[in-house]
Amino acid sequence: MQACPYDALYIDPDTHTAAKCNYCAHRVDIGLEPACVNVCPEHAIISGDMDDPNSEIAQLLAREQVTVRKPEKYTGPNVFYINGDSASLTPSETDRQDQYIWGSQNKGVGHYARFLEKTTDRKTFEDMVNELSPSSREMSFPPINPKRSVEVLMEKAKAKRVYDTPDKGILWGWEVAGYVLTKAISSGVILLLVMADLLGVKGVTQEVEYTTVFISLFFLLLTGILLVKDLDQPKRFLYVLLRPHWNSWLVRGGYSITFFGLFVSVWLFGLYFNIESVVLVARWLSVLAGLMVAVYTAFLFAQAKGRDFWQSPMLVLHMLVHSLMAGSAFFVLIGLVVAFSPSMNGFILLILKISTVVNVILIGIELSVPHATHDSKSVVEMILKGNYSKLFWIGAMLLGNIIPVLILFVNPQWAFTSALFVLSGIYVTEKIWIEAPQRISLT
Amino acid sequence: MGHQPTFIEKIAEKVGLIPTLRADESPLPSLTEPGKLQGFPPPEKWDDWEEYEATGWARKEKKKYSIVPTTCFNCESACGLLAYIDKTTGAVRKFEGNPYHPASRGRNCAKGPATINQITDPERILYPLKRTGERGEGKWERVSWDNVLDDIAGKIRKALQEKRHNEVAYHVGRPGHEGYMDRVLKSWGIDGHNSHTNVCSSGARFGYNLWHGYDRPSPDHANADFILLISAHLESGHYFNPHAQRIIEGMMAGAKLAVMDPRLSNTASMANYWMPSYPGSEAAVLLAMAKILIDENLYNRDFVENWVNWKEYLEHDHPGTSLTFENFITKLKEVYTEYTPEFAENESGVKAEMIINVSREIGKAGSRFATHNWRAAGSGNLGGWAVARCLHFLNVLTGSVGTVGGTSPSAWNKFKPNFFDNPPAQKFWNELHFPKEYPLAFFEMSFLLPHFLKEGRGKLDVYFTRVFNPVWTYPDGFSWIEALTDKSKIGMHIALTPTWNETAYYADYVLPMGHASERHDINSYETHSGVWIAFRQPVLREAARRNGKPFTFTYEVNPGEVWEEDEFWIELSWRIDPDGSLGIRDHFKSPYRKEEKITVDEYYQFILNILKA
Amino acid sequence: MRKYGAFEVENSSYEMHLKKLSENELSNSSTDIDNGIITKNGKAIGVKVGNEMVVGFPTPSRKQEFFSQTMNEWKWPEYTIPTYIKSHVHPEKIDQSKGEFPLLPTFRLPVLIHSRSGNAKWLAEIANRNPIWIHTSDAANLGLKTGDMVRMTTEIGYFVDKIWVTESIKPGIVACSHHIGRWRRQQDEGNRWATQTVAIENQGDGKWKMKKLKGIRPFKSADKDSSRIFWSDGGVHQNITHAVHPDPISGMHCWHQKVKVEVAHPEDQYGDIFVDTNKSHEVYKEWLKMTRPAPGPNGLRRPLWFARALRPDDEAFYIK
Repeated sequence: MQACPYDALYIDPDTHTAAKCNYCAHRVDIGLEPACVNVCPEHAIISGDMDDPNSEIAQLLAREQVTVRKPEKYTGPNVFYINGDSASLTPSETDRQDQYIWGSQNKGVGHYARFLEKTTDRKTFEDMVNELSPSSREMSFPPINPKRSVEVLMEKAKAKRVYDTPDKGILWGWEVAGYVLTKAISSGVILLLVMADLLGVKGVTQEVEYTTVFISLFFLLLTGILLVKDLDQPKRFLYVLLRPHWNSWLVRGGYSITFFGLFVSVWLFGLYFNIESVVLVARWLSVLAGLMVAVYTAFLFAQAKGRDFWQSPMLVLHMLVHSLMAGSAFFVLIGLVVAFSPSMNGFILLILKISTVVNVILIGIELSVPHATHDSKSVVEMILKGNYSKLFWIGAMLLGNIIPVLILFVNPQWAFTSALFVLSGIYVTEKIWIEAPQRISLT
Repeated sequence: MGHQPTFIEKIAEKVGLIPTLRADESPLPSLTEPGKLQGFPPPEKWDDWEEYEATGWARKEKKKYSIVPTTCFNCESACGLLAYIDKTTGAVRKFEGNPYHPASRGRNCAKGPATINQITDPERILYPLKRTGERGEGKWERVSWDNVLDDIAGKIRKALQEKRHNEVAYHVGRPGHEGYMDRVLKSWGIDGHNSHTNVCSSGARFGYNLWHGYDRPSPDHANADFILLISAHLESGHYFNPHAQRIIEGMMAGAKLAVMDPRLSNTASMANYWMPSYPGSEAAVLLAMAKILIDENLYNRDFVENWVNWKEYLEHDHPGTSLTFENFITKLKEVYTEYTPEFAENESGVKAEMIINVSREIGKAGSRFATHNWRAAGSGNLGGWAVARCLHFLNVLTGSVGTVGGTSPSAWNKFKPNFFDNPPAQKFWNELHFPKEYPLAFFEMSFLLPHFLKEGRGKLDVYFTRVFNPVWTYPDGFSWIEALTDKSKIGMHIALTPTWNETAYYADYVLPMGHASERHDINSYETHSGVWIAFRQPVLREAARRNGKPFTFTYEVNPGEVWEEDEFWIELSWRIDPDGSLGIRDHFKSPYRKEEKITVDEYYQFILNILKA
Repeated sequence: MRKYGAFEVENSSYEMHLKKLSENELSNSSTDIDNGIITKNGKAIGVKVGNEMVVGFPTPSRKQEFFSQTMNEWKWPEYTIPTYIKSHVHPEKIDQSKGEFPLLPTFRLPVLIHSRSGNAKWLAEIANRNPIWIHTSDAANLGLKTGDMVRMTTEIGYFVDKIWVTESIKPGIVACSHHIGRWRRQQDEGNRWATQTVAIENQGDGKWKMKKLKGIRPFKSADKDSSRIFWSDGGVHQNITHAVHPDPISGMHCWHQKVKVEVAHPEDQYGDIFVDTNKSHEVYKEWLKMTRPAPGPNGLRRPLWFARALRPDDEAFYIK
């Protein structure tokens, strides 16, 4: 759904699975024109075999100047427009509104439909709009560099959107931000433990190892639950694993999580039966899988070609650092119940300090490097100055990073508060990173 | 096809964890060679058509249909539809276009396929309803068709026996048939037809009628070189689907389009010339254009000289002038002197330069000049009829009346059916419909009815509203509510309608009538140069016939007890005259079975047999 | 016919006025030397043009009537030839300084059909509101932007609607689409895809008020889509606030309305409607004064050559 730069996919409210226009495959298969071609009084839509030089479509393509939508996405689109007006084809050239000339912004599919079905006659539209809509009134987009006179002029001459394709709303909501956090904890604690052991930190006892493995498995389970819950058709989770498309990072991620869980379980098995060789192998395999679990979301997001903001190469580091932050922060919390050795304690705090500082730097870089496209610029604006600015500056930066680091430096006794702040900071950051780009209309 | 399952998938499918997506073992055959597509299933397969279900894609679910043609009822165009009747459920699954319909040619606007919404609407009226509380109170009970017919027939019979013929009226919104009701009303001997025409096309009709006795235009857009629309026919209006097809056809072949409209409609936005005229100024612009055609000698002398009653004009307005064509042109120039492009610009806001350019293009197009106005300016303004009159003036000057690529009178492109029986014309004149004040009106002064009743010009004992919603559609709806709730003015109000509407709320009976796929009608309209006839039929009735399922009336096969008017009026007329003493029964006797009541099948059989011959 | 649903009777038909009269038709007919009109049994059946005896057009002259003797005979001598008649919304009758505009209330949308499409969910989903089109410059003068409310005052009442600011309309003119603004009262059924719930109050003495209680709402039914209705705006019923304007000649209701457009009053709510039917009766009487009633020549109610729906016997055309 997020991968399509044209926002063509939607969740069918009847089947709760993803659907899209397939050019009437069910008709074409038996030799019938797509329905839209057939019905149009003005013969405005023409389909056919582009490879047949005698076909109407091939001749039109040869004769007319045509445009396509978003050629920069290299999707090789096969829908061509004659006299395609850029105001109609480029979503950023017109503004999304709640009310268009003859109707409201279409909210008839996916999560909207589900919301309405559940709340018929009870909740209000306003509730729904606030919860799900990218175009809710509070979410107006700040213009980019509004002071430049040329753009003000352009703004004035801006075309007006009079109707729109259905709005899919925020598809990836709290579940996704939540699972990024839980998997960061799950993989982070393992990575941290192995690092500590490798660096010869004293105090990596069997008790610590047990605790870590249990915590990791617990959060991995949570991750799995959130992942399945996020799917509109939870049974389709099986499809991800059992009908794999290997170049999808959803599949790769799914397998990473599965194998990570498997290796950590084996590790536990080794620990329990005290088979050192098994523990050793399982540990290393867990580290490898854990790394994958920590960072694969960055690649998954990058596959969402529709979302320019997620195309940043920084995202891999960002995910890895979040994993270390989450791991160390959680260790701090474990420290409240399990007594760590002083050197283990010191190591944990050190990693927490370093990763949080690095995190601030990374986010700084991520937001300040020049963004090439209008869409990602808009997201940055939204985060720094727009609708997400409060959440970002106060929730993510101040409470999630700066205050915890200050606490760690000023009074390590209060480390557990800073750990709590860091964990919530990760959640808030992920929420912003996941939600904000989805508020850009793609079509 | 392209999907190569991995071993994981194969195993999972085997174990039964996920459903098997095996390739279909007996795929449906393709109608065409690879790379080629066609629009519709071939008619020889309509009785037994199999295709894949759209919503079940990937699973390649097959579905068997019986395809029955009918005609859309969602505007007056009467475009063709094909109803796909699911052979398993027996219900209509969807509507597509009918490729054999000469006007719509398989294409439809959104309203055609949306017929499926109307027939499956969970809130539609399925049974005859009778008011239980006060009129307008909104309380109803279900009654039988038998009771309805007896009650209404008795009331009408009484009125006819007491010579209160003018107290029975049938008021129609969307007719959708050819002459059916005229025949019924004549058989009752009443002047009881009221229509919606004068909130619709009276203005344009009057303007056209003055010119040549035909009241509507039939432009031949497909063959035109220049098209002038005072309408938005690429997107809306009567015959929009058939017209839009042919306007585009004409444009693709090089025709230019000018649209006169104060609003940038989608049609105007596709035009070569958008002439944003001030509302009501259109005739001024058109006369300025006529003046240019005359002054610049761009008119068709042959046609004007032979086919315009200019001698009568000279005789009457310029007595003493010798009756030569040159004198007529001289006088014509004189009489329109003030209509300069500048004057027109001043009145309309359309730039003089554009008026000149468009006029010259029209002159160049000559007899290939198609024009259209029906409502729009013609229906908006005091004297709006002059817009159509001045528009047709341009057709007359260019000699594009009835030519290839020109504009024909409607009747030339319309088929009139012959009936099995033609009752004599009624001897009454109902002044509630045609009052003395409006001797020239086209047609009934329908929207003034509440005011006429208020003034005590008459009353109505039995008032049918049929696919007609004046409370909402007409101006001044509250005056309608006042009239409809006053039982001393309207004795009984019967609403025949396929859907609930604001007028039906104020009825005594609400009688459910069929949507497009649930009723019979013959249709023929002037959509283009050519004459066609279309047959609207209750598709489930036809399916029942094909399956040999027995039934007497259409409401037995339609959803609920939704009827269609043809049978309703036959039954009602029969019951108005139980002993035949009123002479009404004579007009409803079968042409094929002596002395017996005609069936709806026989009614159409007669018309179509003549047509075949 | 049952099988194909339609067929072509003729694939083209042009210049039918040139159709020659048959010998049979011409027998016992006479031709007027001056105007060429061919008459048989007292009725014109065709016209001689050049040397051809053809059917011509069904007018008294059998030709295209640039000059209409009928208009002359029926007391409209000023309109015997094509003329420009100033509309009832001509700028001379509109006082812009008082905020008056002509309202174009008639234009149609491709997806709706009068009030009959109210139970078609796909169509209601596409179009369910009818804001007032107003030009950017006029909106600026009123200090309004898209979505703001205006009170539209007609001759007989007013309605409160929102505006849609656009360059696609001529300045000085406002427009509002037909089809939309459907309603039901609380006790009424049906069409919930397109109707909003209103309360109607008869205040007596011809004064009526309509207030919107609820917009369009999702509802439970056998069709799951009814619980997924995401639109709530059902538009405003404008026609009910229009005065009747019968054209004295054609009888057409002249739809354009002179309206006063002003910023909505503080007490106004979207969808409010007020009408005084006594005023509407007064407007009717004013327009009635413009008519020039029958009888015409020979005591006729209507020219015999004019078409009439459900045409009565000729004898009924004469006022007795």
